[in-house]
Amino acid sequence: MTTNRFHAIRLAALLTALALVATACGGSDEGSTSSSSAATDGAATTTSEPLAITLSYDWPTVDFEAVPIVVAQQKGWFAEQGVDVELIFPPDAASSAKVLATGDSDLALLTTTDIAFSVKSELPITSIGNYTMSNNWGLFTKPGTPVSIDGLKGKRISTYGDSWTKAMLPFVLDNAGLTNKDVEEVVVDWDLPLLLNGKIDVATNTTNFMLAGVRDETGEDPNYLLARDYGAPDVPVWVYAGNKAWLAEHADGAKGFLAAIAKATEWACANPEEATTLFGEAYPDSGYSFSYNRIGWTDTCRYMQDDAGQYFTQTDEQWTTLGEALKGIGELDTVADPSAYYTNEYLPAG
Amino acid sequence: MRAGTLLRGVLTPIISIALVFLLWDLIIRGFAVETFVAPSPGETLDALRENWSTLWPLALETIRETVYGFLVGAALGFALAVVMAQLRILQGLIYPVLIVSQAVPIVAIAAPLVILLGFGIAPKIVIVAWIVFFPVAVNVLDGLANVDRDLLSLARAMGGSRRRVFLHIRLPATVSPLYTGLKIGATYAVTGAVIGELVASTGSSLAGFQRAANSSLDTPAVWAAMLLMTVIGISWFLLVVGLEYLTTPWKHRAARRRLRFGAANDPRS
Repeated sequence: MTTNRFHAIRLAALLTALALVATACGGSDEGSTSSSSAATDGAATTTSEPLAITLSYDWPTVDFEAVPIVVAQQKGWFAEQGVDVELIFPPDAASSAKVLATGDSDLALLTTTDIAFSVKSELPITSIGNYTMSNNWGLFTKPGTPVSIDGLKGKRISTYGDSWTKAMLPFVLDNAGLTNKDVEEVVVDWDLPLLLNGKIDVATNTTNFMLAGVRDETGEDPNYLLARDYGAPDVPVWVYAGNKAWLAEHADGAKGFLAAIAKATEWACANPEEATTLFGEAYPDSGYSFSYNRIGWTDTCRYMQDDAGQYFTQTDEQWTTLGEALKGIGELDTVADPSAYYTNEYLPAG
Repeated sequence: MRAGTLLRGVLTPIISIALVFLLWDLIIRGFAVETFVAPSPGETLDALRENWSTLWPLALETIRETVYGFLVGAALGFALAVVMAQLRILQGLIYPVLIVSQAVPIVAIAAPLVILLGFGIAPKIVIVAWIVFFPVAVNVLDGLANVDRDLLSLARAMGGSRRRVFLHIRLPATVSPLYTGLKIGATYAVTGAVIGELVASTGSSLAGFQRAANSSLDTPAVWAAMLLMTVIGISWFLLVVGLEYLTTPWKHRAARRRLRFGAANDPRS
């Protein structure tokens, strides 16, 4: 009896171990997706082998900011341009620039501060186009709680401890006649539950992520003020960037990528419901609801064109302004020549 | 003889750590790893020196969180083990929960803890205690379960009360396993404190410094903070080892006796 039970336990343990191994080996690889596996409804005009491009995302998991990439894949617009884009995800938010610099990816979606620090650290990467054209970072309070520049004193403000917030928050506090000693800064991992539970008074974030989070969770809008309206520089938050060596070798690939992205961005902003549906189909396990993605993407679109209706185009001024802001908080010793940060060489014509 | 043993005891770990540094340096140089990917030991030590005035106060805070959490976790683990050993039914009820508590990813409960306990030191203490109490409880429980049965029978036959048997036989039997649990807990405790700091902290923290440095692509500073965290963990472990040495003199006396006895019976002597 005891021996039988011992054998049964051994058998159960063996089966459990086998099941775990089988799960580990057979699990789907959600870390990347490729246009080659995506359904396409557009006709590919290029018959030769497409150029394989690896793009490192700016965050370890996918979210609605990948909508243009997904749409370009699903609609076959990458294929039209002769490129095949695979999206990969870095181990943490700060690693995308490193992944790009080492050549593990050819292109990347990065924050503009990533580019500024990359230049400081002499990483061989450069920005090839703005993702958004203006600064949508701001200060948020939960629905029903007003936020005002005059009421910040003594408030508990959450940040992610990132360099963007370190660069922008002093401008807003200065505008309010305050310093960081007048507020209680809390470095958090995730601000939304803390804001909604009243554990923090004010959260700092970009509008697209905070509006989506709060509205999806509560059905109401948070109150917010945009930092650019209160002294912070109006500079883009995210950019598309490329590995310099790869760009030198594949200029047409980079141009093709941006041309497809331009088409996809325009279409996705004109058709947010359909674009969000395509995103949901490409990433059904993203963990975000359709409504979250739609709200987030719709808000992102508000910041993707400049006053002249242009996408992507970068200016010397945006990089100098950002550099000066980072120098002002001691994150940069010197501001490099703007050409060290960016190039408009690969922008689509027109 | 004792000086030689002491020298060996000190020199061997120093040589072993020096070898780790050497291997680290060889890997960085041999594979031409870029600084922004992983810095060399020299670059890391340079960054540690440059940022020392910022890092040291932050390290003190992390040490405080680690010590408080460790003490709470060790006390809870010990008390829980003693109670479980006395009341078998309670052991049957609590032991599975104990296992489940360790299977839960600590990062998953860290955020709710912050919402419940705030941004101060409390959630960090709870997280460290959560990590430390398990090895202590399990080891002490094992110690209590493996007390020499003959000794217990003898004590009872000699009229020893339940209380005296516990105080003079069962409790001393927990000392060695308790220190084993404490040493395991000591190495993990600092990890718990850092997880707590990562989830939420008012003002600055060692983990916050590391995150900010990572965000600025300052990899040597990231590794400098990591090195400091490692040193805190190792120091805490060594402190427990030292405490064990001081509070259990019979263990090294017995070891010396064994050595002497062994030497006297060695045919070469």
